[in-house]
Amino acid sequence: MAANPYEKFGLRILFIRFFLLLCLVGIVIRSFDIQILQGEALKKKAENTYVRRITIQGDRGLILDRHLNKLGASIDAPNITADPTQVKNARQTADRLVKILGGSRAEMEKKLSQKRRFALLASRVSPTKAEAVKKLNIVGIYTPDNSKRFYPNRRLAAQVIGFTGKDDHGLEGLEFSYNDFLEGRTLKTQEHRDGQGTILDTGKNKRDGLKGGTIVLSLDKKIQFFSEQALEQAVKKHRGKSGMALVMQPSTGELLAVAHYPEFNPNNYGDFSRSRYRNRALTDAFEPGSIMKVITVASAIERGMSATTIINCENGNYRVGRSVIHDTHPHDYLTPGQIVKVSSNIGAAKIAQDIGPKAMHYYLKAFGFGAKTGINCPAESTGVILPLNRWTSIDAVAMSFGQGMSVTGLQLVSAVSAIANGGKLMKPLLVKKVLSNTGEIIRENNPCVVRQIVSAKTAGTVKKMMARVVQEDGTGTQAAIPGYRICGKTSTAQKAAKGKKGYSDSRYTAAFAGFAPFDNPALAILVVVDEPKQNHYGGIVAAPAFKDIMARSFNYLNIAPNTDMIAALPREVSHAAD
Amino acid sequence: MKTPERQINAMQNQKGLLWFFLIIVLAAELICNAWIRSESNQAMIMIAKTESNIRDMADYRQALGVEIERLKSEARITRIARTRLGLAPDIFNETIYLPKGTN
Repeated sequence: MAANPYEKFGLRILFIRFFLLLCLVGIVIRSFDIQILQGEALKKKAENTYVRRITIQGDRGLILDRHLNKLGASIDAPNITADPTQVKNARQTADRLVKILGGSRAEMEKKLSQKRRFALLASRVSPTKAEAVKKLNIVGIYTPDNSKRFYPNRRLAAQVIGFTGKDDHGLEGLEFSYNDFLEGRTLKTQEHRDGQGTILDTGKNKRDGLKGGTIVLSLDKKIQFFSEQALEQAVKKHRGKSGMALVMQPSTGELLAVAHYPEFNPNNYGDFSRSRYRNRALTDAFEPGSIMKVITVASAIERGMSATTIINCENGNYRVGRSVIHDTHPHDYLTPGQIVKVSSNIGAAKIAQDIGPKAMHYYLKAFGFGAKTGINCPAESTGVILPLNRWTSIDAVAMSFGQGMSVTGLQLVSAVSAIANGGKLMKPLLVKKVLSNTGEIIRENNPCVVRQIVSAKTAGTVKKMMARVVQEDGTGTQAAIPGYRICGKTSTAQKAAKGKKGYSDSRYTAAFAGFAPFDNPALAILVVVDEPKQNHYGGIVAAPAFKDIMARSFNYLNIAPNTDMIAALPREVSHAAD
Repeated sequence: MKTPERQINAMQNQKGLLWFFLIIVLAAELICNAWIRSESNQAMIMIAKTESNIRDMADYRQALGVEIERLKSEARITRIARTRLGLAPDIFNETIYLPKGTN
């Protein structure tokens, strides 16, 4: 009997159902195999084609001056890298890349033909070039972000700021000593790519959070420029070997300028001699010469010597042990104020003999000589002051006028600032603040009084003596600024002879240190010119540079003259009126 | 006898519709899934591109900031004033202070 047609249909339907069920089971089994059994291996295989592991580094932080002007900043300079295993046609790719990046085609092709997964094709290229490479959209070619350090003011404060190496690591100056704060952090992340090769580099967004901290300096860009310009003029005019100028705020110890000559450009530091890199105001110690007479006189007055004491200056020759001390001009009887004014070595020597070596040693140490200031800059020198038990009879005498000891420029300007600041020695400040990449203050350096060295009364007396140096018949008249009462002291120190005992007759250090205005000192300045050849007197070589820096800084800071003066019209206009 | 046949036909039709509906649902689900995936990919690409543009603009802004600092450099301005404009320092800003009573 033939099968019922409905039964036939039912059989077929059953068969189809079974077949579909079989397919479904097959799909489930295959799906289980792909997703569970081979899941990890296939996932990795797939990731290799659309995910790339990358390491991103945040930009280095900023270095700013006290008014937040950029002294050191990082600019975008991407790298061009390749995954040679993904590059299909090395020759053609090399051709296209060389047109943008330049260089040798053969070398580029060699890099792209390697059997490695990474090749650096170009380091720190301009963003325009990187964009052009990106637009080529070649599979296996990447443009990871990178940055390059740039110093927009070029030579300005180069020795203080320092520079970074090719790996963006600080090598000199504050870039070196504050590297831990400035350096951007690194993060390992992934870069995704879609089926068409478009890079979905959302991982790089984290780069902003990796940026290094910012340091705010006490330097003032403008005063730094005035100082560098005046110093350059002084060194060039007197054919000096080198020079330095420091500007400090006596009441806070903040350094407004640390200038050096010759300087260098940190953007291409490799073109300059290594000897130019160091911050000589901190690292190089020199014999300070007559500026120390101010310290000697301050010590004596603090110990009770009267400012009206008469001292016999022996008409220019005075024997101490086996040595004879000379004055440039012979003098008979001088008061301590006159000794400072005419810079008498014999007068200073006799004052030192009067107070004794122990007190002399105590006050030299109290003024900060022979010890680091703690400014946190690399390779700061302590200078040299021999221990008291090693002093000979001539040592205390020689130190009274700044020979037989050595100091750094920073120590010297700090000591002079202490006189301006009523006898209070301030800790020198160069870095005011350290900020995180979000702007939070990580560290703030506030003005810090190290110690009260001499009383305010003594400091006031010494200030008056220093003011006479710049007045008529003083050694520092070229530092005088009309309308302002300037306090200062010249120094002309012979340098130690090379290869023999004693001092050279041809090599000098000319210096001038001072502060102004008299009533409320706003700035203390030290100018040092090493081995000037045209003229070697501090009053002629360094004092005009001091005046230049001080006058322009007063103009910039709007510090009015402290005597009764009125402002007249500019010269050009008044001539026209005539 | 006709009634059971009709009933069977109706049941068969219902089952067929059910299957058809099931297949339609599955197909719609597949289409929806594909559409959502492609749209989300597209959105991701757009987001990535926009973020990349923002970053480029931020980098450009940073570069311009540094360029402003370079242009503001006193050494550069002074050099231009001296060499290109032939100016001497402080002619226009110089203030002369005279003692009281001289006018």
